[in-house]
Amino acid sequence: MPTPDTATFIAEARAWLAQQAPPRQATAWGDGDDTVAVFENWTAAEERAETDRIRVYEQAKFDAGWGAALTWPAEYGGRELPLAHALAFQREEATFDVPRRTEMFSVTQQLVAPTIAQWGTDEQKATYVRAMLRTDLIACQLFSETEAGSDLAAVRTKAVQRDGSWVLDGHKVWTSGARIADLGIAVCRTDSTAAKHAGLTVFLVPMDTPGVEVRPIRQMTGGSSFNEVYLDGVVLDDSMRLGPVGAGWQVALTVLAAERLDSGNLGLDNADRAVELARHRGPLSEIERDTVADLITRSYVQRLTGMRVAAAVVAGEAPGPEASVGKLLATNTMARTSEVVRMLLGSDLTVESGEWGTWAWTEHVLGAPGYRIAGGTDEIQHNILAERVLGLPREPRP
Amino acid sequence: MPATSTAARTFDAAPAADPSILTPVPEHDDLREIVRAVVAKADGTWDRLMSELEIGSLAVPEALSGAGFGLREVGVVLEETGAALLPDPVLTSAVVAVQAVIAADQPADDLLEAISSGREVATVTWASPHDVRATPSGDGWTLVGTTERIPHAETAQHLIVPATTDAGTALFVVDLRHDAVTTRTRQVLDDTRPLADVSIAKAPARLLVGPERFDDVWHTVQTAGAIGVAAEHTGMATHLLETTTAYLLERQQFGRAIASFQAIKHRLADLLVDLERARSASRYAAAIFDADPEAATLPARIAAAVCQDVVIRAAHESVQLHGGIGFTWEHTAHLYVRRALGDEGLFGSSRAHRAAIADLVGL
Repeated sequence: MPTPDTATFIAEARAWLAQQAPPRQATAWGDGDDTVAVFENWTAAEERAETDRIRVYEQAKFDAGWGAALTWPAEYGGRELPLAHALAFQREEATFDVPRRTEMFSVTQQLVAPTIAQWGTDEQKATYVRAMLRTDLIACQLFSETEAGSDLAAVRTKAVQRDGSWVLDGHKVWTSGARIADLGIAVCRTDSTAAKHAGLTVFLVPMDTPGVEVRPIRQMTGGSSFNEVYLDGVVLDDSMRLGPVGAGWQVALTVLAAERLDSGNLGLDNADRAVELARHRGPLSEIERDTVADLITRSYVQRLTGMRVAAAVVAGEAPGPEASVGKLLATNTMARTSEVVRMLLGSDLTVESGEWGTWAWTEHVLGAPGYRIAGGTDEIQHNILAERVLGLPREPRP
Repeated sequence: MPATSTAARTFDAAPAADPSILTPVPEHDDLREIVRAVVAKADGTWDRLMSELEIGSLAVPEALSGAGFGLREVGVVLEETGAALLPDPVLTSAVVAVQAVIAADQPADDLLEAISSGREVATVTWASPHDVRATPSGDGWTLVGTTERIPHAETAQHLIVPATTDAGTALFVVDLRHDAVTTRTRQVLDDTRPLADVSIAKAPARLLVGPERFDDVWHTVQTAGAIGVAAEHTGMATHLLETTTAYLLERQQFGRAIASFQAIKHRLADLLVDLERARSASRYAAAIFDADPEAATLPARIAAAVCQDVVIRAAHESVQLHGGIGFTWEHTAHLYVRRALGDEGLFGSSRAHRAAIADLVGL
């Protein structure tokens, strides 16, 4: 299929979007949903219902040719369009009141699907990639463990070969969306005699396999968006192994690199909302104005940095260091947003009053610290910048 | 950039342009290499920048016999001259004065040729206090007044200065060599950007921009100046990160390069994050200016606020991370602290820029 010119493409996208939803109007301040949660605070039933609602839209979008596969090859249901078209579609989509994707959708479509496309067998690619881009299947990450947080390669969950199958035993933590996921991507130790990074292998674990048990973790916001996942004698066919035995570290890095690139836009919606709050809580003192203007400046520059990454990728160049700083810019924006909100609301933040758009910010100020830990702690991000971008030596290892 | 804001419009608090405006341009890398090589030489830098590389004509439209590029290319030059703390009037004469002259009501080809070629040097009061009065005199004008803290005024031949007339403020150019003009050098923290006060006692002057267009032109000149300063700061931060990193990879303590200590690595990583913020902000502002100078008002202030903060932090981090040697007179680290602080005084603190940002977004 020939590449449509951008104007035609945008016009067609807009026409399709207009059939799906009304334009996203800026609802009047004080009206509608005032949620600013960093981590969703849903019961299992709510999480399932919300995911299904979004999935219906994602599937319709995919079937109409506008979905996550836009830039992918035809074999995955894609149109092989340049990234510039995908970005143009995203900009158009943001102006319509369509369901907004939750974290599990980007985990599935941006993290796990590309990893399977890179590392999977032909059969795995045929079975999972299209299904994940269309979100027929939702994926979750089975990475961290209690003794393997920043030091991910220290995972102790074991996979051993027995009678032609693999048997997994271990305990994963901090898995988002485990309650609704169809498939987990698990980093396991297959050779305890090999060097730490060399003894790992990745498996695709159907979450309904006997022996898989999900237990929600209650986080400091009071809600649950993460889970512990127990793997107790989980038997998998060798066809569920992703990548070569012993290549688990490389496969995991593929996921983590995608995660870092995917985090650049986090926090911007809430920063915008905090600026709106400032407009409605005025008049501002000079110090308050300065603090709000600083937040505006930081979110503006976070957006610019994302634009630089996009521009480089669209131009077919590997983005430079600007791509690696995205997560730190995002968590900084979140922290400054908290600062602005605390400053503006005072005890209206900490004492429930029933007033729209006040108590709701507790979800942000209690959730934001979590993103400094999730997706590679801010400290690990600093190590990555120092070692991979600046070329500084590693800490000596004992 | 003082608070003379003529743009009454309110700006969206998010960048509106298509990301393609930030697409990397390979020719910019070539330009950077060439400028860097010239700046690295000890002698003849100014002459070579002006007459060989013709940087004064870079952002002059082709219709005015310029190269027809813009502030993006000028920004590449200023990143390099800023990185080297070049004490020549690249920013004031080759960039800001040129931007003022190309906006003249009547073509000022002679003046443009003289300063864009580097044969003569002009300076501008674009960020300095001024109190100058202009009265008509025959075919021309006569200026009386004072203006302070003007970069390179001791060595420049021309001063571009706003002055009040009966019809409103207008922009004039006065010959600094005239007998009625006296300059007084000021003692400054940053010797790489020399400043002088200028007293004008009835000196003849030429009208560049009359009261009708003054507000718009002056606003554009100030915007270009702010973007130029931001580019210099980006270049300084780049240089500071590069040189500090190189030193920390060499310096051994406790039996290993101190760049291998996590406490050091994380500080360098923070400098890198800051540098990328500065690059994003300054390069975007320049790109927007080239597309539509009026739309660059907010991006220029954002760039000014971010880059001023970044350069002050980078300069102080450079001193600290160098340890004792970084606190010596002989080391260059203090020169960067001095430039960063001098610029903050002259061109405005990040807090002042943020106050303007708050105004521009209608906060």
